Amino acid sequence: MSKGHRRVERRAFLKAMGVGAAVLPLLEAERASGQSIAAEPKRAIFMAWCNGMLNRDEDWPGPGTSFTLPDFMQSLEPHRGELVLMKGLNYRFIRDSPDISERTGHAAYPGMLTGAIYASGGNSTASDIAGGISIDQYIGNALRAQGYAGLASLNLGVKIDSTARLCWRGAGANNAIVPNEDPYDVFNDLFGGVQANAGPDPAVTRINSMRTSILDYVIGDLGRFSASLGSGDRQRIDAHLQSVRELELKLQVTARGNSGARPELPQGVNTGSTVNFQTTTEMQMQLITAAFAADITRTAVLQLGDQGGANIVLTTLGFDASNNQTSGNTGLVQGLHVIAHDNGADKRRTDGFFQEQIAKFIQLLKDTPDGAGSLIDSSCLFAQSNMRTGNHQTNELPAVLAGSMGGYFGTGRSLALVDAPHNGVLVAIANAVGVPTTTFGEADYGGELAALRG
Amino acid sequence: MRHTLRGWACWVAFAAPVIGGCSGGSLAGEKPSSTDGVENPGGPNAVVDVAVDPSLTQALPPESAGQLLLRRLSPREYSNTLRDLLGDPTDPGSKLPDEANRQTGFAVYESASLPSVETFLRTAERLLTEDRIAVPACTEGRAEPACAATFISEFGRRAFRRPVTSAESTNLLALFGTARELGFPYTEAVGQVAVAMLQSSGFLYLWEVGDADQTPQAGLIPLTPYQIASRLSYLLWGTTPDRELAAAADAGQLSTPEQIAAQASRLFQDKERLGATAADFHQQWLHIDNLDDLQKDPTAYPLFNDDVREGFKGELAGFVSDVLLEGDGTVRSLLTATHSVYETANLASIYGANARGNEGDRLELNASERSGLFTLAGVLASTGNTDGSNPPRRGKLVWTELLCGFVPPPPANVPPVAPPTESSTTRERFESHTGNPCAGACHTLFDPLGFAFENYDGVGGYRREENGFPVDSSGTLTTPKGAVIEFEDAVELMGALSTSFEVDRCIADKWFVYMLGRKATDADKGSFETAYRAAGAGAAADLSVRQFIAEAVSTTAFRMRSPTP
Repeated sequence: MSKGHRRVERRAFLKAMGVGAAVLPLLEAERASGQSIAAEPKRAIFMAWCNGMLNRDEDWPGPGTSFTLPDFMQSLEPHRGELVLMKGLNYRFIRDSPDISERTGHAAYPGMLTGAIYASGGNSTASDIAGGISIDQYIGNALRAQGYAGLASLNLGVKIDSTARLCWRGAGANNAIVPNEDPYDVFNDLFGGVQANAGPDPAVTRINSMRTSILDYVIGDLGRFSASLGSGDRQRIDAHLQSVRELELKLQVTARGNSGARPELPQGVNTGSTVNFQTTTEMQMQLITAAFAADITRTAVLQLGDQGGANIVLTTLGFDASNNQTSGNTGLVQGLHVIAHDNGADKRRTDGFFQEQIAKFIQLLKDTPDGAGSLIDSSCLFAQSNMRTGNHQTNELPAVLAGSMGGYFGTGRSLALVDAPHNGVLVAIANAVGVPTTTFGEADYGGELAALRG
Repeated sequence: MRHTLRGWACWVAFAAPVIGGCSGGSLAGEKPSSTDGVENPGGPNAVVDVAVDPSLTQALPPESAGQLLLRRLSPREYSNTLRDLLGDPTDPGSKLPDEANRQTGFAVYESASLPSVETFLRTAERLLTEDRIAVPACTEGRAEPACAATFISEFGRRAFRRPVTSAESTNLLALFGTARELGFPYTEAVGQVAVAMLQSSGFLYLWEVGDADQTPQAGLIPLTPYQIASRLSYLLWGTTPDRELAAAADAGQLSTPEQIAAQASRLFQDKERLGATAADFHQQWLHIDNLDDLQKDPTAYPLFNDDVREGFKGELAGFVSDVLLEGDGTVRSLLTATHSVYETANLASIYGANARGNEGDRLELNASERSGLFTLAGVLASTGNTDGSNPPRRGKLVWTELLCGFVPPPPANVPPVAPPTESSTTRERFESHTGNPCAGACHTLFDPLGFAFENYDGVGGYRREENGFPVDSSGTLTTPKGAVIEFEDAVELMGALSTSFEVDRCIADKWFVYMLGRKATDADKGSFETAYRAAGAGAAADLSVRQFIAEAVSTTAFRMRSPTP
């Protein structure tokens, strides 16, 4: 074949790829089109890391409003009025999962956002283990069903070295959602083509339309392909088809533009390296915050590491990434996994690191205007870990909720709960966002955790 | 009653199996039963030849076929395919996330997540803007839709690895019309259609629809020549069929076992592409696809550097290619060859003064120190710690991957092994760890086998002493089927295992699973046995891996499929 065609307008293409010219912020666009939407949408962030929040149970703040934050939680002191601290949750789903190879905290990872008994007996990195949809997808889908036009959920991660997943479209195989670990990628997706006050570029508009038609073709093609297959294979293709739908939606949402909300990311960061774990975490927080401000999504998940963190060395705490000897099968001796097994003073320091990330996230939300106040007024951040301490327990769990969700949660308190399935928190967040929900995950684990309302 | 094995002509005693048989639904030794003939026929302590596979005396099971696996192009295949289809040298598959299913021990891509479909879109659009999708001008006198239809048919034949169906053509022509309506000039509009094709099921999935019209044979559906061509090409070369293979498919010349064998034998001539596939198999099989991330403690191993790391990568690919493709291709050579293939002088520094370089880029190793694949420095380094060896990891590798032995899941809360000191050996530290009841279950299994490799440090260098103490690498192995092998060191162990039918079966089974992309089932058993026996597995237990692969591709298991339920 000869190369007989003119060169495609590369510039227009790239602009379209990177979102396209800014048109109007989504909210304004919707107002302009006369739709009535809630003045202050509610948003939820789910944040998770591995190996527990504690090394000793007695350090967690006692119940009440005048709780004392221990040394490793001092970073939260400026935000105590925004907090609901919890102690006494449990991952009941993991106790009740039949035939699983491991019942320890690592294995709890894929169920932390589903609260559902596992569908298979695999381990924490199995791709078919989830027992149901994750809460972020559930809320996002419901909001979209209510007419919200943004993304169902924004799934971001930092240095995940395994296939351990938090987010799922549903139970079983082919439902894992792979988070994006590259903040620059996310930036380009969501904000890359944003320019201030530029009108629609016809070339970009044309390419966006073409892309929509192409993805429609691909969706049709996958649908016809799927229909020709047996049920097991069909499920795989349907999952692929669902990804294409998500991509189409993402392109539509981002193509609508979101000027004025570009986060300023530090440049040139090798985001896959453990020495940049903290920087990358902050970049992902910035992106979630900016995506909320631009109403690109109302649900976000930030996954920090995988189920064991064996290869994560927190160099910002002075741990030495170059002294990366391994210890048996627990990973690098300066890594989170080995430190958690040791469960001593170093564990306490790494616990402090993660509490500090919550504090930073809260501050970002506070610093971002939203309506009459800031994002912290209309949002909540739920932080959990897959176990209690470095000793792998999945009961008596601590967790942190920050943000009152417009007064829905009674903040400024520490709660002592008794054997409360964490499903109750997930139900409460769904209700607070505006997705009426009675139970989530396993129906017989009870409904909303009433104590959160205060 | 300990004795030293001399050479490889070893005799071993069969004892009652202490550990369960091969796990994972594989054929090698699965369901040890009377029909398998692997139970010791002469009683628990009869002495039999480790080389004689009792199953071979049984009748060959009839050949049949299981289900055809639906799978997506892997990142490697995606890159190779776009390289060969459109000349894209950029390895776009490296941008795809790892979402493989590894239930079989080998990566299988089954679906596509959001980051994957984004990569498919971006890559296709980039290829268009880079002028890699060549669209001929529509010459005067021809209607544009007719020109577009010709492009769809010709490009589609190559991209989909089969003729485009009429329904696909109709839908793609409609997409061309949309592009024209949006104002794209003719060639760009056709380019947009190609962008869509590179995101369609026909391109991304190894399935190759179109066998609906095939006449069933004995309840099985014969694959179409296009399916066969794809299967052969991706199996052996990891990429899309070349012109000759595609022409054979077009001409209907890929139906009989002889026709398939002829093409396979042609594909076997390309040592570079076949070698890349063999390297991919061995990297996955031995779990050493992480050499890029390999780190060593510079104090313990000052010789380790980036050149050595690169040397390790080249060494594995070179050794495997040398033994399996250039040499006799046997398991015996794989486990006993005493040359390394190195790419930098720095690897010679790891192998020490006893190694001598000679013709070409081969490094001849001391036969009393090295014996085949499992004693390559790169393989040993990947299973070593950063600051020392790691007997259980090395033992586990031999147990699960070479002997297809079963491993119970690890318990929770295993305490770490004591760190290295100057007053003890690795073996002492790990033996003490094994004494821990929590850790003991697995280590009793792995460690004695792993201690065989104690002559090799954490980067694979040979040592006779550790901290001034002599290295003790002797031990006794009871194989999954109960054969007992005593050995002085890894060289003896590997020599003994190179004649073991259990190892032959295990390696053949690993390749069979890699090739099928799924676990073997009873339906595949006849095809496996046919290829296995044809490849020299017999009284001499000298399986040719190369011949096994060549034989397997024309068996019923690869030529046909059972109807989808």
